Amino acid sequence: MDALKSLTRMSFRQLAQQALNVCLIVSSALMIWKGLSVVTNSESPIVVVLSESMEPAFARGDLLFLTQPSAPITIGDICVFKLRGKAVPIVHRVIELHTTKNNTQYLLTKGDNNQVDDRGLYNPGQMWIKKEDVVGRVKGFLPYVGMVTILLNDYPQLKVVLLVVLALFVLLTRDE
Amino acid sequence: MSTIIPEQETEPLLEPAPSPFCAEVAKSSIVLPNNNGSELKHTLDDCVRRILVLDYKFKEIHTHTDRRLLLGYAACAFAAYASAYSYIVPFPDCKPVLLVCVVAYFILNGAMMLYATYIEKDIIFQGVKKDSLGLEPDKKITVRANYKRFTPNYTVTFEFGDEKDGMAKGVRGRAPSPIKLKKTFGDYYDVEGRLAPSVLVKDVASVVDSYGLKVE
Repeated sequence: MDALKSLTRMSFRQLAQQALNVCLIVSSALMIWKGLSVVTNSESPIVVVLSESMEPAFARGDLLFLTQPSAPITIGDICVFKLRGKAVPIVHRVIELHTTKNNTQYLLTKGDNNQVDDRGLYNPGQMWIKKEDVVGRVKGFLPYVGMVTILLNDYPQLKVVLLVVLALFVLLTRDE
Repeated sequence: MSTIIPEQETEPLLEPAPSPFCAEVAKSSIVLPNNNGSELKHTLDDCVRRILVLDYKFKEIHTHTDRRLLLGYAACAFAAYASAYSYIVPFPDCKPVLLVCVVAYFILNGAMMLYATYIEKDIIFQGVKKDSLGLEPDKKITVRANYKRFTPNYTVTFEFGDEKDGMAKGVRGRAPSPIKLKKTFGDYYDVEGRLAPSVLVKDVASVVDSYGLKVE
């Protein structure tokens, strides 16, 4: 291929520059993500809705923007929380809230579209979740955009193909 | 502009001295698609560089490139460290380190882009040639290349200067004015996109020889 031939003609420094271009794209995306998580004070500032348990508010494939304000949680807040031992976080609404004398909050959540509260989803023996389990509160959302992420996760080969194509394209183009 | 020497006054050159660059290109001919102006320009830049290094034995000065690469890779190092650190140390304990790394990344990245845009600009080659006898000061050359998008125009500017230029040293103190070569891609590539190296060698020679350097 002519494009690959042009790679063989490059000097070491030019190859280093092409590799740097690829690295810069990857690290820019990474740093924007990490920067967002620092600014919003949330470990995962953007998440995708995977189930229909929050319809009609959120549908499968919606993109959610999260923040983690230091203010205490109130009833009606839509929280994203992670259960110990489970990898996938859950987006549900807080329906019951109890605060102890030393300001610890005990929360009960339920998906808007579910018939029962989340006690069936919690770990065995767990009746409440605490503020530490909450990863963030929903600040805003974008409909349908998250379908791309769902697709890429359902077909992981697509991810690899996309990355390889992008890397080759950047590696072989010398921009002005 | 090259000086015109009437043929009778110099010893007749039966054949121009063979160019090592032409020999190198002949081994693997360069053919490019005609529609990508950026690729055509970059290949011509590469050829000018090879001509100056192979034919005229300039030693390339890599300062600008090295600085740019250093800034870029330093930025990537910060990004890599941030990713690794946030993978090991859970949120929110890793926040201060992350903040430092993110800020450092964007500062270094910005510095690299500013360096390329405002300091390096359109320089494609910087070289120095030491006099073999050690009598004359080193000859320094800076080559800039410009190409307007969506046009076939390609302009190369050669700037010469002795190592000690800038300091008043009699007649030799002032650096000679830069020489511009205004060409088009059609001068060097044929309709199939094949590069004609001898034409480029001749054009570069017309500029460099006027400064008193010869193909070695």
